Amino acid sequence: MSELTVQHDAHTHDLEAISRMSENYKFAMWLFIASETIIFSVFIAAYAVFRFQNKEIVHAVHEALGFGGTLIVTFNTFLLLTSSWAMVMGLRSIQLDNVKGGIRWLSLTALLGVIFVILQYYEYTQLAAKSITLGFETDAYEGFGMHFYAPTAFHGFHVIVGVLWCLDVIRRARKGQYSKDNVIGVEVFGLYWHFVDVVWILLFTLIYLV
Amino acid sequence: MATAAYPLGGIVAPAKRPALSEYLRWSIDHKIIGVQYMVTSFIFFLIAGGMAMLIRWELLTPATDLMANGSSYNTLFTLHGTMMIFTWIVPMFAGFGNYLIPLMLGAKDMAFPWLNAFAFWLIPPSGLLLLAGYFVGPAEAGWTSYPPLSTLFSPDGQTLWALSIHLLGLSSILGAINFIVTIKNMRPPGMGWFQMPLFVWATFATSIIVVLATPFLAGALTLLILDRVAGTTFFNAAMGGDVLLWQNVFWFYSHPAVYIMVLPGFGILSELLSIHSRKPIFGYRMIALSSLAIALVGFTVWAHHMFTSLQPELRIPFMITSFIIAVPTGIKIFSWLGTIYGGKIRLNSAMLFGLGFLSLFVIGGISGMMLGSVPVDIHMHDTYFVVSHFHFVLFGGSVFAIYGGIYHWFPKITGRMLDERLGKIHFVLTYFGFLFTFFPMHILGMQGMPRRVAEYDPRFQDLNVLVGLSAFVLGISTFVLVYNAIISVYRGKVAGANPWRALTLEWQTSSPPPAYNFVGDPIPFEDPYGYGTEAAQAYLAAMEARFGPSYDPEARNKPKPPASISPTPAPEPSVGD
Amino acid sequence: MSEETMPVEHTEQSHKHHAHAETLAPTTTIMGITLPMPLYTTVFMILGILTVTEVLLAELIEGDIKIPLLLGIAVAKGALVVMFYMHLKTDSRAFALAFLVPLGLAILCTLFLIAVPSTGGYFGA
Repeated sequence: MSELTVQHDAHTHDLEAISRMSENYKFAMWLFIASETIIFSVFIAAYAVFRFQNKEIVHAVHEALGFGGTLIVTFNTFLLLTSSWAMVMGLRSIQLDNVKGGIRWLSLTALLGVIFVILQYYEYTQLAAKSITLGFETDAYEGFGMHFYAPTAFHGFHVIVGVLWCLDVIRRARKGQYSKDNVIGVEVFGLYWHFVDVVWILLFTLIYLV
Repeated sequence: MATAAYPLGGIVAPAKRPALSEYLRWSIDHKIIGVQYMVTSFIFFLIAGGMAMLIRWELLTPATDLMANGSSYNTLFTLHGTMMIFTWIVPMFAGFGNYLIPLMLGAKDMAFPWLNAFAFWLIPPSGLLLLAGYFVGPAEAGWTSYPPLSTLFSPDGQTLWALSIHLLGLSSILGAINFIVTIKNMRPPGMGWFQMPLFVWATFATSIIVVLATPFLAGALTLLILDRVAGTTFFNAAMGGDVLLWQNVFWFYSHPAVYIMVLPGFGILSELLSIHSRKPIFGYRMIALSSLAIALVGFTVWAHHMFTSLQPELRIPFMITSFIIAVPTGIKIFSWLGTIYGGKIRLNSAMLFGLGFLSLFVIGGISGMMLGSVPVDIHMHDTYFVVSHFHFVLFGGSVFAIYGGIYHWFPKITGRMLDERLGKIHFVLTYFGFLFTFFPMHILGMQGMPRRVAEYDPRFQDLNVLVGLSAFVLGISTFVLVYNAIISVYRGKVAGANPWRALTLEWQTSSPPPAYNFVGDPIPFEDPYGYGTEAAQAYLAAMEARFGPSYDPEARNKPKPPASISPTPAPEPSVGD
Repeated sequence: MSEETMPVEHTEQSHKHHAHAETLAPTTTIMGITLPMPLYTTVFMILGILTVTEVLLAELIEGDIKIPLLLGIAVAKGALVVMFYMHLKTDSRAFALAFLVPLGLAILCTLFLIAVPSTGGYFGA
């Protein structure tokens, strides 16, 4: 016991500092997520008000897109859910002292994020072909376009930022900056990525299913 | 310390100040950043103040004669309001917070120094972006930027305005996150939540509001920008949008934001009143917790700005919440009165501005209650009564607190005292200039003079001339402070570590503080406002032994300079704790 | 000094490891059943099942129950991610406060906008 203590002594201060910094970083990230929640709520509220006032329009859009439209988005939802799972598995790998495995999981996370963005772009082109546009006068569905594009594009922007951040985390992991005792960089990114996932879970149900 | 002649001998020269060039470049030292915030926002204050002078000049006569047309008048009051709020009061308080919070907590720096610097460096470009509107036709929809005026009828400067406010909002959110984490996690051992100085509490409550409220504005601004540049019509009722969506979301933010602009002032005032009355703060817990209560209740009152546009059924509920929020504010007012009651008051410039705050803010608070009651508001909505009300709380409140804070902490920041005589001249000019500028506006408003117009009925002219001339006095008074600050930085009396004999931690280190703030671990006194006790005097004596003697502001009034502070009358049994 | 701080630190460390034990274990026990996969994978499976359920419900059922039911499932999914992937269940209470207060505020404000006749008018109409 005492021998162990002596061995750890030089390390103790580092560990303590890392632990304290970890708490700071995580708390700051949660506060940032708090403010992001509020921003998203403005977009979601704008959509929800539109949805409640214009049930027929939303129904018409769902009819026009059909089950095929829902399938693409459901697949996209699975991509994000899987990427979230890959994210935590990556974190777990590094916590279990397997940095290489962590890098593989995180690469999967970034890859799935990229595919999500590409598919969302594809979906937008499909919608544009059906004359769903930002402008009210050109929109075949009288205002659905702007209320739909604003929240989903804002979310898509967050996915793009997340992918870039994920690549940076991978770069740092390859440089050996993370270890069993120091995963805060990964964990904070994870918080962001899961939050983006949670937003999508709500948007998916609210916009595509309800 | 011995029998020193006035001015006190034996005060060590101020610790070396950072070179001027340090302030002009990227720095992650919170003390540098704090000063950067303060000086930058003060420059914007002078610009926005100049705009106010032009507004008053225009209003000296009933006709539009100084400006080319109504639009140029609109751009003036729009930029005046926006800059005063977003580039003066908010960043100025952020500057105080940055400089003082780590010092008051005995910490080396903020939790995230890099983020701190980043948040500051967003401000100068955002302010310039606002002014850059003058190249493309500046914003002219008022600081509230109501559509459709801000979407359909404003020039491109309105887009720059929205972008600029977006960046300033980001800056204050990042700053607030930094404050919250610092205050929660970096207190020294021995300092619990209820041993923190009240300025720290106020900044904590403010930061909570910033994190919760500012994103509403960010969301609404994003939609506004989309409406302006991407062809959407979120706020155009004729095209599937909704005008009230903006009003609601804007006031979701902006009413809480009123407290962002005044709570730190409350914090500064608590420091000033206790220290310069040499008395424990009355009702410490009530002051601390009422800040949180204000932060919370502040989110439930927004629609009192919309009595004339919202559903009539909703007026009464929002009138009631607006009255409720006066309760925590009243608690503070009475606690402050209890603090100075029976104290040994030093009427120096800092305290004068503190007392000025107290008197003017009460007037602003009461006119706020009048506006919060529906029947009065329907009559006075958008008149000069409203202008008078919010200048009483924002100038009479926040700016007086800032001035008081400058006189109080200038010695800590620069190591030298501000000149007291000039300070008193500044106070007298400001106080009476202020009163005669803004008090007559109550009458103008009740008589029906609308705000935001360049032309008015000739019967209002007499009072407007009085207001205008007083406003020029008020404007000139600012330069007394500027002059005082500039000469005092170089010629002021050397302050020493603790010229006010204060107990909070920022005074228990040299002035200006060294790199990383403290040499060795700072030792907080058990009660930051425990003035007038034996223990406090022993603590102050020990600190003086450690950091050397300080300038004694009371020496002049005493025939024989005493050894240290004279014993104050025994405090009444402290009621607050 | 160090003798005094050391034990405190050890408890903190062990506490932290205790908090992580659940997420690092190779198996998961829910309601007495032990599954041969880590907690994260279990949560992922549940999320997948819930999503499929949602899509099927959206296609198959009609009526007043549909919207609350679907939103309820969505909230449950979000809660799973927040509690287990974002560790809110085991992490500091302050984090939960920092997330739930704004969330409540956002929901209230959204409901207000939906409900008030001059904007949404859903409940007033």
